[in-house]
Amino acid sequence: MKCTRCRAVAAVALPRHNAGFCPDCFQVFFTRQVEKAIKDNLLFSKEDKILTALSGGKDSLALSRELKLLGYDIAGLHVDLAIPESSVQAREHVLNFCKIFEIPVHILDMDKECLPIPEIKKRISRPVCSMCGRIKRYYFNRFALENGFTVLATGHNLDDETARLFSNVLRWDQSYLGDQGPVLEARQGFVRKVKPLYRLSEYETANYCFITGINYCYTPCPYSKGASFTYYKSILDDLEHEQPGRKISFYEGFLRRAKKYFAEREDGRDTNLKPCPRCSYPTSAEICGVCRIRAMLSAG
Amino acid sequence: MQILIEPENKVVFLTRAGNVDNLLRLLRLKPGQALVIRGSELLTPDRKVEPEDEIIIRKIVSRG
Repeated sequence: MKCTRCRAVAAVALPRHNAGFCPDCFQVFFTRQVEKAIKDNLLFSKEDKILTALSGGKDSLALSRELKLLGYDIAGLHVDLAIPESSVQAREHVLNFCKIFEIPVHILDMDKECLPIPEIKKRISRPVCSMCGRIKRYYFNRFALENGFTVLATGHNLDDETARLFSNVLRWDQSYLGDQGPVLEARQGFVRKVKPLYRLSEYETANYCFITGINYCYTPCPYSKGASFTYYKSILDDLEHEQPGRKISFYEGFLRRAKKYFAEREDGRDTNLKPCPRCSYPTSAEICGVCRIRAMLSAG
Repeated sequence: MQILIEPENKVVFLTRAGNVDNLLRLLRLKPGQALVIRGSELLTPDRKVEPEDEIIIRKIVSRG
C-alpha cells in the first residue's frame, strides 16, 4: 500500500478515509483532524489557559503533544488513583512525557486525599469504574477552576465517544444525550470541557504515539475487566470493520441531527444545583458524590 | 515467526501467516484493533511477513 499523499510505503491504513499514510504524512493527517475539531466547534483559542487531563495513556499524551506543538497554553494534571498494579507506571509515563515536551504538570494523589481506589473497591460490590470516574471529574474540574484554567481538555477519542453514545442510546438517557458532544460549556461551578480528539480513533492515536515516539502506559486498569464500555467498543469495532466510516457518521449524525432535541429538554436543569455543604462542589443532592464516597470510607 | 502480544506480554509462534491481514485473522484480531510492528516499522494489512520475522502485536483498546 502506498501513501495517499506522497506515494511512499504506507505505515498506517485507514479504510474509513479510503487512504493510507507514511509516517510523516500520517502526522500531517492527525494534526489536521485536531485542528478541524478545534475550528469546527470553536473549542478554544490561543488566549485560553488549557488544563489537559493526563492519564498516562496514549490519548491524553497524544493530545498534549499536539496542543503544545500547535502553540496553545497548556499544563497537565495527573490524578494518581493509588492502584498498585497500574498507577505507578501511569504516573511515571506522565512525568517522563511532560519532562521531554516541557509541559508543566501537576499531580494529585488520591492516597493523600483519603480516596484510594482500591479501598473504595473493597467496600462496594458493583464495578468501581463509575466512582473512579466521578472522583477524577471532581478533581479535574475543581483544580481547573481553583487555578484559573479556562478550559479542561480530555483525550476522549472517537471510540470513547461512539461507545458512550451507543450506551446512552441503548438506555435512551435523555440527560446524558443532551450533554454529549465535543464541548460542554462552562456553567455554574463547572469549567468548560472539550474533546479535541473526537474525530480520531484509538487506532489512530496509538499509531501517532508509535510514530512520534511517545512512550505511553498500556497497563490496563485491573478493575476495568468486564466494563460495559469495552464490550460496546468491540461491537462497534465489528461494525466499523464491515462498514468503514460508520462510527464517525453515527457520532456526527447525532451531533447534527439529534442532539438539539435532547439538549432542549435539559435546559434549566442547573436550577437544582447548590454547593455541597462539606466541600462547596455543585450538587443536586444533599451532599456531593465525592463527599458521599469519603463518608462511606470513613464509616469503615 | 515469533510474535509478542502486548499488553499481555504473551509470546506465540506461527510457522506461516503470509501477510499481516492473515496474521491478525489467525490471532482473532481486526486490523483496527492492534498495531503490527516489525523492528521500527508499522505494517499495513497488505504487507508480507516472513517466517524469520519478529513481530509485536500491540493491542490498542484502552481499559481504564
